[in-house]
Amino acid sequence: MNFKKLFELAKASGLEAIEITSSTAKSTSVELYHGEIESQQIEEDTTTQVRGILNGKFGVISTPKLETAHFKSIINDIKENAAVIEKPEKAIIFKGSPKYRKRTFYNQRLVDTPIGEKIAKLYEIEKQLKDLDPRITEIMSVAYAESSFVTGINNSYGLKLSAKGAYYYYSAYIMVKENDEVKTGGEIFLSDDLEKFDITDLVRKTAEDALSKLGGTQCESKKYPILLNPDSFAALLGAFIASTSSEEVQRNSSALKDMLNQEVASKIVTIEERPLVNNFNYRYFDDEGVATYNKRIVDKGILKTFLYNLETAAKEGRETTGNGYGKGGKVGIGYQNLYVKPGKKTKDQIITTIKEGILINELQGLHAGLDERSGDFSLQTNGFLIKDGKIDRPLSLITVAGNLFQLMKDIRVLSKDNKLLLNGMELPYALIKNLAVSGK
Amino acid sequence: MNKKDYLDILNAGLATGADFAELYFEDSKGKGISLINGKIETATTNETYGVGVRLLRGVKSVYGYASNLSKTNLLTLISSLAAAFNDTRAATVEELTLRKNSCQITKKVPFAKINEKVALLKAASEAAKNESPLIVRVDASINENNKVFTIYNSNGEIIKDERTYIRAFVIAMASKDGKLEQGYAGPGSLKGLSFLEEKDFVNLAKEAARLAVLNLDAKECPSGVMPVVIGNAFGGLLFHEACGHPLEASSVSKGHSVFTGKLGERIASEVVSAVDDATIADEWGSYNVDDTGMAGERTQLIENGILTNYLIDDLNGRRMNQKANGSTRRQNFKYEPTSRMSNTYIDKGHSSVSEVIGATKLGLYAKSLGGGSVNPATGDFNFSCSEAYIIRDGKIAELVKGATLVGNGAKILLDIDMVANDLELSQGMCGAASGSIPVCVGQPTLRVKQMTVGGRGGELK
Repeated sequence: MNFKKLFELAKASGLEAIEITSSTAKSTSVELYHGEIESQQIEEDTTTQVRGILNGKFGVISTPKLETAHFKSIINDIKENAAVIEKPEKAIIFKGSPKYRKRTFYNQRLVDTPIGEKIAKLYEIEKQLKDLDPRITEIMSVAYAESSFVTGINNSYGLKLSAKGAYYYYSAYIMVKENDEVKTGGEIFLSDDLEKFDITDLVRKTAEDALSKLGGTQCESKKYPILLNPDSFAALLGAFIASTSSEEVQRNSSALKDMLNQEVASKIVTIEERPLVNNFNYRYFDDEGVATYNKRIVDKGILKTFLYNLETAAKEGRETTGNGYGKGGKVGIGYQNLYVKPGKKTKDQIITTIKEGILINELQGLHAGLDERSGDFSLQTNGFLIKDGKIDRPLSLITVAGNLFQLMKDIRVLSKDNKLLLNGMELPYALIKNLAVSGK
Repeated sequence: MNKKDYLDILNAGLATGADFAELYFEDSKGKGISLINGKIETATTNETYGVGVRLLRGVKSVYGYASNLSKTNLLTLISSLAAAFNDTRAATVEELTLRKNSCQITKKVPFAKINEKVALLKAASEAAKNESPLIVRVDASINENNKVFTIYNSNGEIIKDERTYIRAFVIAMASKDGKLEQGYAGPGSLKGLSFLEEKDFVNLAKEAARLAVLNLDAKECPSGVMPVVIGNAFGGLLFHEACGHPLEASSVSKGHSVFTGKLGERIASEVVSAVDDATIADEWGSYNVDDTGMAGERTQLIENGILTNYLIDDLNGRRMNQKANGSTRRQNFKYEPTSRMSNTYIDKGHSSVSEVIGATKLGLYAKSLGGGSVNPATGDFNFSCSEAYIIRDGKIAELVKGATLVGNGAKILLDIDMVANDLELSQGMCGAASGSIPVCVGQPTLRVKQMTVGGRGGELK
């Protein structure tokens, strides 16, 4: 799109500079229910955010209406909004990094493959699930979704960047029943390469997830060694990394604020942000147009850096780390592709070393049960009791409680096997010294 | 575009066997302003503009949306959706007529003046800050959203509606000896800025600060199985999550809910009656018409423990052979609408609050809940408490923190043994398949005979 007119109007209206960030996604999704396509969606999603600077302050509007006739209203809203801003920081629109590591991982074949071929696999997934186990009483949903997107940034200093990506996923959710007990389970497979999808593997994991929950009981309330699976580790790690945000540090609301170059996790823990690796989350510029780079946030337990955007970096007179991400009018701190360095033992080998402990597969209620600032958490979980080096029985309706920052220091072992999650994190299993579990 | 254009588009959607076609045009505008520690931090405008296209054929649906509203683009979109059905035309729409909204719960309210919002936020922030020297940070914000939509459907109807939401937030954080705790308030309404003055937002901010400070010295909550008294207003979140969601036709119709096939049966103890009411004037979860254009209703869900109705959307109603009851909702044009709650609450009972507390020898008083989640198929839920006390010998004793309530929705309904008469509603956002929508939760103070409580404070003694 040509924004020349908008830039001109902004200048004529007294704005120092403006910036337009936009993303357009085209998505298709199909859901199968009882052998028939139950729903199908076709989406063209456009979001555009325009920020302008008036007297050193940002005014922001997000709108899909980018017709010339609407430009005046856009500029008016930017001016009205900027006029009330009081925060002392000077608004910055970025002129550009010296070098960008632009590569294209966009998989055109994914988009070109006819939808019929993609849908055919849904019938096969449903059939295999049906035939697998008589305890599978209902296939709640089998779905396919794909999305291709373009993200771009344009500003009145002439910076113009754009990136293209695509991904798809297959998912299956089932209900299983034994005696009077009902449990649900599911699995998602996500990639940008259709050839990587293995129907049998998705079916097996879906069934395992649901069936393994049957017969769950509570366990005795006490402290147990805890083995977190990658999904539950991710939930906690997300909260930990949120504390490395320079925004939280500068506001004195991060528990890690005085911990730079100090031990914040066990020696075996190395955490990297890898925006430039080849996956669907690859990003070579952040939402402020700054070039991104791969970095170690925690190196062998030592906190190496906080994450900065332009504003928080300017406050400390340093360079941004290319972590300016945000939606809805505010560029805050974010990251792409968090990676925890795996260990040497497989998950199964780790289990054999545990005399009595709990394998946690799922942590629920994180938005409420975890206080990111103090790190205290009390969360409902499902999992398995481990006894004498073996999985003994499923557990349900138990809660685990502890403190996130202590937990990071109490990581004893990380597994060799890791998993790439929907949010771009790639994590191993983590064995924690112990956590308080309340059951019966 | 004119009426003929809309007819052309709808009829293109019906060409391959769909029996119903709907265009949902939205042109909404929101304004948000936020403050941190007394200084205005952000002010933003947010416009939502586009069309959602829905085709139904029996119990199948296809949905698409776009922000490019040219006739050509909409014809292309609706035809690619129609390609999902490969039959011959089953319906045609000849004419479109504007329908008058059948009830007038909400009125258009203009956006508040930006300076008035700034003044109110500053007053609230200052009141919270002045509550205690231990308050280290106060965040406050006001968000308004003027939602405007027009529906054209193959029943020949044009339905227009407009409503303006306003919601304010305050979060106060207190710190001592390296510990941080917070208190929160978030009132909302369809009434405009005057609502926040009536609700005394400044005082709510003070209360939030007071709670944050109190929580600094709170002990860790003990764990175990115990009687739990759940407070009124936001305590209703538990009913919303654990019982409200499983009463939505989206899970009932496919047998994915614990309440499927239970109409007319006892699902709760006799002291429990529950209602979903979209017709309360100016209330946060109310509406004139739902997002398919059907008038909002008051639906009795449970009467004296007996299941009397579900929340039914048009599509799932077809599968259940029951009529929709004005509860088909969506966040905006990007979401296919489905059955959702409006203002959903447990109705008031006959006990007084002091009777409920007084009848409890040793247990937990969960005065306010923080948040939680539920699996609609099994009814298993978990909730955290934002303000909780231990009850000793029928009296409210020490404040505790980190309490989690764990249980099963179907079971807990049968375990409610006392319901007080202090019904109050509380505003929130509810996220589900059709997006994030404004709803009220609510209940009077009530008691659950026994429940699993999680916490780090050891055994309750």
